Amino acid sequence: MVGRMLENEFPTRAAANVPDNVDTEARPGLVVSGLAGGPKVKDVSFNVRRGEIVALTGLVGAGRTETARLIFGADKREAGTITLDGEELDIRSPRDAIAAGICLLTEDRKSQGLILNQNVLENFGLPNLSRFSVGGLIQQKRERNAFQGYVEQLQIKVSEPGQRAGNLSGGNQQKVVLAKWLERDAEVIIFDEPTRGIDVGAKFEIYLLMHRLVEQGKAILMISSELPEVLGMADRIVVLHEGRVKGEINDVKSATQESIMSLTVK
Amino acid sequence: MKRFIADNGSVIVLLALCAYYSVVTLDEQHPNTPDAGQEVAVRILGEFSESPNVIVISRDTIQDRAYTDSVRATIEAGGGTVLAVVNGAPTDARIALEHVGGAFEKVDAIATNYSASGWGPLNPDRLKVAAEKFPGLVGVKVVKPQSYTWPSFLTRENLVNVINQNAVIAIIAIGMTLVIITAGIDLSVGSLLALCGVTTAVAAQQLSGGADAGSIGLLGACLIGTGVCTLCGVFNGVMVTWFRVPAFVVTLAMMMVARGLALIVAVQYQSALLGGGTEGTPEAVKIEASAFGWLGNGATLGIPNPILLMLTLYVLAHITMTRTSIGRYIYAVGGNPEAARLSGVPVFGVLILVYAICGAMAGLAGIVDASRFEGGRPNAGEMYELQVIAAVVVGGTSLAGGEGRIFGTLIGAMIIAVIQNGLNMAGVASYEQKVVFGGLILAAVLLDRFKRK
Repeated sequence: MVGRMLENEFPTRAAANVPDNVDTEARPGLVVSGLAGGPKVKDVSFNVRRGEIVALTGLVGAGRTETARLIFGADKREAGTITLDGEELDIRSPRDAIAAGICLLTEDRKSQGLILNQNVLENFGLPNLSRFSVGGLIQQKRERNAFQGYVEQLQIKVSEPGQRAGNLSGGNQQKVVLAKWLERDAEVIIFDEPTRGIDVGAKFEIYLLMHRLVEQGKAILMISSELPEVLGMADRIVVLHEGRVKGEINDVKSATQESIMSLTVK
Repeated sequence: MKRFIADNGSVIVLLALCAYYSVVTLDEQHPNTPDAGQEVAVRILGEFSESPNVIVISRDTIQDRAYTDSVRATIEAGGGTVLAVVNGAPTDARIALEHVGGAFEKVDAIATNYSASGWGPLNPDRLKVAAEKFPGLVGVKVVKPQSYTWPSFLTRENLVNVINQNAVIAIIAIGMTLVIITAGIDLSVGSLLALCGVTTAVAAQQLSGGADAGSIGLLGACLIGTGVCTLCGVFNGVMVTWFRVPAFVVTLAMMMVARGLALIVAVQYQSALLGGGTEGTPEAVKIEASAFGWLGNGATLGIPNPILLMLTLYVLAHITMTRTSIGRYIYAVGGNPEAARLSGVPVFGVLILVYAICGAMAGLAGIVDASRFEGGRPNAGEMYELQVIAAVVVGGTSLAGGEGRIFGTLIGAMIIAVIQNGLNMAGVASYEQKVVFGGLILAAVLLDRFKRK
């Protein structure tokens, strides 16, 4: 490995999942029930509490990404309800989801996460323009300063904010996508294969960031095919099979790759 | 350096073209302005110190009249006498000379300009012959403004004219730039221009009170015309988004429909006026209110109004595209519509808006055209879509979408205008010009390809 032992591949987190300042009774986080839409998602129900990382796993084609897209409003939802902190959301488009405080880091950064021929600053600003605007005009200095904050916080390696997003490495591209969603300050963050195609160092930084987010009381839904990642990061595991929830593992500490595998296949 | 050339290639091309045409059109200039008239008058007053008797001769054009008025005013202010002012043909000049030469004792000078100084009656030999019959003409001196060497291309008159002639194209090109940035195309702009002109003309005649229409009534008529075009643009946008019809097909259909509607409205209107059947000719619908010509033919602070409108629209469009959310959204939709949608951009709304703006710009251009010709011409704007697309492409906007600058389009429109003007000055026929422009568009697209590599 690259200078780090395998058991340290995932950062450790304090046992208490939910920070003291979040009242989980009043704000129970994301609840999805009876979700269906398209050929891949038939009946999916689960919840993600604040301060919790829930992993959504299953075989390829089980409907994981499709479930995330339905929650985010990217595809048409045919049935089911989505509530956030007890309030039912009427999500019909990604714009609605973003406004409601849900964001999605897509699996495919290059075709869905970024506009490659635009510069990183424009990519960063896209969902956040209303924050930087005064009287309808974008305050470019404000936008630039906000981005600079994330460059330092996430250690994004960009030569200048005018650099084309397509010229960055995979890890730095993912960090730009992260920065753009962090600026939204969303309550629910869906990570779809957050570390695919990213070097080990950047992976660890992204794991650390996920921990920091749940410590702030955010709810994280993580989709991953990497079982070690699922076991190392998740507080709970939801296993999908052919568009339905096949099982839920609450005691992740005693779970093994084999016990998950046995749920993913019939 | 390389990047500077890549970023400002079109500006460099434009400047190079201007420099080239300046050298090629270097020529003897014969001024015909009120200033030149003043200069001539002062020269005459200086030469004939004791209140000279002067006859002023020129052609009968607006400019020549301005010139002769200036000569007359200056001579009279300087204590001289203007015996006669001729604005007309060589024959008029001869008759006037004979009359003045017979009636007055001494005519000191003939003040004229370059074009009239070549006339037969003003020829020195002919004047000598005439002096034998008409003694007043003995020793008369022909005075015209001093000429100088300067590029014909680089005169204020020519440059203003070039820009003014292409203001309509440049205005439509704003809308087309937005559409092309979203990786679309709009072929209907030329027809929408005509539809707007005809609609505005009918509205001005029927609803605003015809010849007695006030400015508010005319403004209302313009709003109706532009509104119709904007709605056509919205229709284009809805077809492109909700019905997923390719932009090329939708706007091709709209191009034919709008042209047909413009012709139908014009023909129906004429035949209704004449009280005949539905048969009529697609002539322009005249707008009788004289105030309507202000936009197309008037000038403010010495600059023609179409140029002022064009510049205002370009500044507004530039601010919109660089400093507002809408502008960012338009670039994002062109760069990657799916990523834009997943970042919360209302992609359909943005596309519909862009086609609506394109329709509105075509409508505004239609009003300028109708104002210039003081009537809505159903055949106006034919093939404009291609000239407009050429301007946008030459200006550096990529047909693949996502890239392009508003002022690049203005430069592109000016490059085409300058080439056209230069070819006209060089006496190249319009058929050959088409070949040149075809090559130009191809070159611009190839340049874009190489730049991307």
